[in-house]
Amino acid sequence: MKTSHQSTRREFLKLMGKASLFGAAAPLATSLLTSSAMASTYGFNDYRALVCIFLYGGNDCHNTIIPVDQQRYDTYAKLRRAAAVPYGDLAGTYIDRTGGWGNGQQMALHPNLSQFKGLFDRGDLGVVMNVGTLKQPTSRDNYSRGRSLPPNLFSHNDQFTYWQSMQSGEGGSGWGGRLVELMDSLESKEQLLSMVTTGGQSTFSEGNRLSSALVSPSGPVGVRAFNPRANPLEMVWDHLKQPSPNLLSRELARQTELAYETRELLEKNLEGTQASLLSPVGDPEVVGSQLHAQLNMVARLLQGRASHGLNRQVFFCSLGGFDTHGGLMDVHPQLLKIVADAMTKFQDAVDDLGLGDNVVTFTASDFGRSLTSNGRGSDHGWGGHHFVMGKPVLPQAVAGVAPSFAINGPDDAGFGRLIPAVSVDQYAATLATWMGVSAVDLPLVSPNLEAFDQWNLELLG
Amino acid sequence: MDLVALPADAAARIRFLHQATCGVSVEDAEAIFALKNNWRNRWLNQQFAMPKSFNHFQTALRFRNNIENFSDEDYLGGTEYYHPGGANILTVMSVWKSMIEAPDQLRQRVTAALLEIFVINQQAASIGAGNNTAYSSAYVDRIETHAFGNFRELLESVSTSPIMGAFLTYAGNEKAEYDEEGNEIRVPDENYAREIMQLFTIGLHELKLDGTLKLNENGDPVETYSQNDVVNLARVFTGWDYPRKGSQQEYGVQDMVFFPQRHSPESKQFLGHVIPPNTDGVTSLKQALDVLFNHPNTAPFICKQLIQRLVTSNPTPNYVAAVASKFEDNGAGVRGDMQAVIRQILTHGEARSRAQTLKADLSGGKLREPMLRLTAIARLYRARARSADFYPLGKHPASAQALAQAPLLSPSVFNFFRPGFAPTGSGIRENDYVAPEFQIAKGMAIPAGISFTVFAAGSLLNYLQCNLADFYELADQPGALCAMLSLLLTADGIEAVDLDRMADAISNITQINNQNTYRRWRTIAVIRLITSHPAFLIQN
Repeated sequence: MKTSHQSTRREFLKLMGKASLFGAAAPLATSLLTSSAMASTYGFNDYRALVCIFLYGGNDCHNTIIPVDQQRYDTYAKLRRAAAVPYGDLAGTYIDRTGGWGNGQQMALHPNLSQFKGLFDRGDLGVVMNVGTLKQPTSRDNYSRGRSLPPNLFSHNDQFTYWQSMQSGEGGSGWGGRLVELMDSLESKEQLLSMVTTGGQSTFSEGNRLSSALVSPSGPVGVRAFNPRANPLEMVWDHLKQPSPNLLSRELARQTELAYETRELLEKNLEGTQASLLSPVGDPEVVGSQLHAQLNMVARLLQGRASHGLNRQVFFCSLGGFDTHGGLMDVHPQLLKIVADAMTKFQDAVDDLGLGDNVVTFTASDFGRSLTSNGRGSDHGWGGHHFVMGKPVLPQAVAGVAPSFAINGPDDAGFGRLIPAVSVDQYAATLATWMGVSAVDLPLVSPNLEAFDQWNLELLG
Repeated sequence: MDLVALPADAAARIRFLHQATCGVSVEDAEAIFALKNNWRNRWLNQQFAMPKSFNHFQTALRFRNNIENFSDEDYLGGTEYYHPGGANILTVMSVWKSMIEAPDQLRQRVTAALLEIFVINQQAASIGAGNNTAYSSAYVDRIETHAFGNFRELLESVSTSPIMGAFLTYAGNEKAEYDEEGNEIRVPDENYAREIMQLFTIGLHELKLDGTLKLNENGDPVETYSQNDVVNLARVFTGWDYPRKGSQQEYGVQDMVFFPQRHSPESKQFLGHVIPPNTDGVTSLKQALDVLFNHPNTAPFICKQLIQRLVTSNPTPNYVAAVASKFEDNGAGVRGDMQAVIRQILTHGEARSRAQTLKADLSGGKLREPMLRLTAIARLYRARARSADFYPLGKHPASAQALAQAPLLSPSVFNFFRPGFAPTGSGIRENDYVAPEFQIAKGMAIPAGISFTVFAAGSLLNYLQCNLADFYELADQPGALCAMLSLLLTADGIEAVDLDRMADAISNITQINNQNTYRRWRTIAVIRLITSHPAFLIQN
């Protein structure tokens, strides 16, 4: 086992290094995909897909999963002031995890996540408590001494970049991109669809070789049409693809060819698929959301996947608006409603497509937020709680531990910002394991993984 | 502007403006055409003499005070692209505005380049929206103030700015603490010490003056600094904290404040230099900055990146050496003279002509940064804000999303793209060249970015006051219209056969109901075609 995977690792690292494996004379369109020393040792017969839903802005974890045992609820309510969810509203959304929460604790979902309770109870949703960016297991002590922390902890851009890549510095690749490059041989042009983004360009989706396919809720990203009377779109593509001696122009043309091919593959993928796969039932303000539209597009791409025949795909979706410095009592609950509704309906669509066992959806965000509040909003935090959805989720699975809710307690980074107990590296490794990555290769996806003991959280079976 | 009476070197002059400004209008063209011989230096002299036209601190504050009067629909792109929401920090808006409107364009272009070296995010840390706005806008003012001054002063201004203290976490940094046995309990945060070396002055590997790597006897690059250097230098950046006295209006523009009791009394030994124990913090800082400023790496490391931002991704070693020499000595014995450096970059033989920039091995030019594509169109339109209280680009990420770039919104301190990036599988990489901007503009990012500029070419007219009269006048002669726009946008970079195709295409756009709107549509159509053409996407 070790030998073949070590050689995989060596080849992979070589590809990530300076030496180019492609000759200058390689044909334009497929030079990215020319068969090389990197022949994948992964051969899959089944289909599996990961769908990342990135909540930009830093989702307020403390109003997402709330303590309902009296002592901790009182602490929560006192610090949250007017922004605390009323106790009575939580009665219907207790999270009944296997074996209980221990220590007299009980947690509940925000009432607007009631659909998640249904999914959780029937075993299709798991919870990851207090997960965040870490380079190594970090205690309160380490944190106050600034020992080996990810860079710029409370900065949006640095944190969402780190959540998506677990790297700082020269990196530039995201773990989604690295994951698909590891598993796909990149020998056929169809593999340009290995990584699909509906939620805007992101570090997550960038591999070292492969750029993500981009699609909007209405179709593949292409050159926006303009002026039917002049009918210039063909001309635009022709200009971009025209050969030129200049090295940079040649590369622009080559990249354009790749974009054009990717776009054609996406169109083929969507041919014959149903326009609307997510149930339209519900409050228009909710079902009309960006997230519903993106997940609908993912569902369509899943429906049409016979067009490409890929065995492994990763999708990236996103929703913004979570930076609730204010709006914790109105904006945030509405966002939670949207997330729960979109994800639940997406799961229904996936089940109807017969892909319930083959698709795992998970949430992520820049960071959690502070527990203390001015009554209207909360500040940037660190660890947060996230959801993993799909039939492969183990029944009533909860990874990680509930926070202690003690100010100046062991998981407090000040103001009730949580020091993560689970790292993004472990979270990603768990999902990568389900996708079929072997343990030896996991550090290629999660660069900090070797600092942690548990590489596979008990979430997926 | 009279196309017939153009000077013989019109294209060369416009091409120079593509290297030195954020975009060219008819006015800009006429002004540079009016200069006689030695027009490059004359233009530079004029620009260097121009006072700093913008006050970002006041502008961002004004935007912030009025932002409640505006909604998502007021931004270019409306609600079409995702919106991360959040606090109103409006420095980005102010910088878009100055890049597009300010008359001191060379200062704007150089500042844009410096902001990609001395990177901050507009929301640097959790210090509140007001403080982030105040400190980040004041930071842009610092860069603009020193862009034509001395690099040593620029370095000190950056190092004492509160937003940098926030972003690279040395505001509040304290001296080390030890227990009774002398074991470390706490050590100073190393973030700024590392980044000031890696990104702001000397880089990771030793360089010759021409920007090429110095190799050791095994043929390997030599690292410039060790972990020990970082640990020691980190002691310098202790004792500094946010200025907070008085109102935000007052402290926002101030330097960080120094607290002697928090400063490290230990000696600081780094890069072969020793700052003795018990040296006060202000003196320590100055000495440390002097060491970095005088390091032999600084000139080539900084100068090569400035060339890459303004002129070409792959300057020859001769070009880098010529510019770096000016950094080391401007001719009058002064080190770090930014004007001398900028002048050398823009007047060097390798910058002067398309053929010379392109070079015999065809490696020259640079991919135009996505955000500068948008400013090129806006400046062509002579776009001006409709209200002094707001600018329709900025907080909303439409511009950042589809272009994958907007000022002060890079994913981390490492900017949008690394200076050493080369796309995998490309002839660029195969030949050991680089093309940094491709890092955010490859694959489907290409049509995504073009879609945005296609959209913006029409939409800008709805959000800003624009003046396209010069183009409408030519609209009845499609060939002349295409030629004029090709001159201003690509410095005559488009071949006749492509221009003819464009002219033919727009001839199909004709008058309807005796309305003259067809002129606008012809003009916009040509601009859309040109700004999606390789001759525009690649600056050369």
